Amino acid sequence: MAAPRAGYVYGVLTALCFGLSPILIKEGYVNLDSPVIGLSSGIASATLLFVLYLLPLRGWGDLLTMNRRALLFLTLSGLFVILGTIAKWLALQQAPVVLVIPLIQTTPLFTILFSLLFFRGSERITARVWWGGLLIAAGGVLVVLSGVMT
Amino acid sequence: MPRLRGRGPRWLIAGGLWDERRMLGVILALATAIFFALSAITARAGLEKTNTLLGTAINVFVGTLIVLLVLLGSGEARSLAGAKLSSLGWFAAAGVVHFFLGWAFRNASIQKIGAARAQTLAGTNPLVAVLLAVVVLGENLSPSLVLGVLLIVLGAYLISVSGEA
Repeated sequence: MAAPRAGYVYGVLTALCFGLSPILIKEGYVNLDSPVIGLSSGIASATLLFVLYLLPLRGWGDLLTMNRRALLFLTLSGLFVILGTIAKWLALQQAPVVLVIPLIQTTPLFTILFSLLFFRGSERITARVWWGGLLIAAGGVLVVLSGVMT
Repeated sequence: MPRLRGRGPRWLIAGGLWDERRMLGVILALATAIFFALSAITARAGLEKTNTLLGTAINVFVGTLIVLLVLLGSGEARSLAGAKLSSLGWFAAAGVVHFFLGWAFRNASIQKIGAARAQTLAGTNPLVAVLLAVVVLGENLSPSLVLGVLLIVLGAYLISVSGEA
């Protein structure tokens, strides 16, 4: 797999979006303290945009004819990310932020580990990837615990 | 060590340092990290021969289905009627930024550089909060915050020079 620069740019844009959304959610909580309604309204608006995208571009046809293996994995991907989101809420209800957030920041390390297990041969995991994951996880913990995100 | 047999974990739990709620919270937090990692891994497998936006749409449709079930099961759907439009607007904006743009960028990144590098770069998102706090709110940088930022930037640099995926 080539590593075009665009992939790194998309990665940074992902971080930008994931970093901005909690700020918008916080504004929503000012008048409505309900994570369930917040998540439902948020994901429903994204669904609406995807429906609008798929309607004119014959995307529905692509959906019906797509590879079943790909469909299965993408369904699982959506399932896992929502299960993760729900588990995060529940975790924050049970334990303090100082315990929960550092553990969640280990996500890159689990991803690197699973990539090593499942994509051995097709995804090259170098020492720099491990060090990068460790430093980003540790830096994220320091930033979150410094209180700047609350 | 016979004197410690059977005392360690029980002491930790009963002593208040690790009560059962905290333990459950820790398990759920680890589950969160594992679920997010598995999401990136399965997306990588599913996106090999699929259009990024179509793949992201499937992610979002599945997520919506589950969230709607949670909404109905929680009984909170009734309070939607009395909800302030401004709040719903903020949540909708957050949804567009996170689930539409964020997930599409994440999947595009996974497709190009693989799950490990893409998900690790996505982990740099606390930097956004720091930038906003300093630039918009004029907050001072504490030493731990500066160290955190430096570690994230160095980590992102290492990922960007980590070679081809």
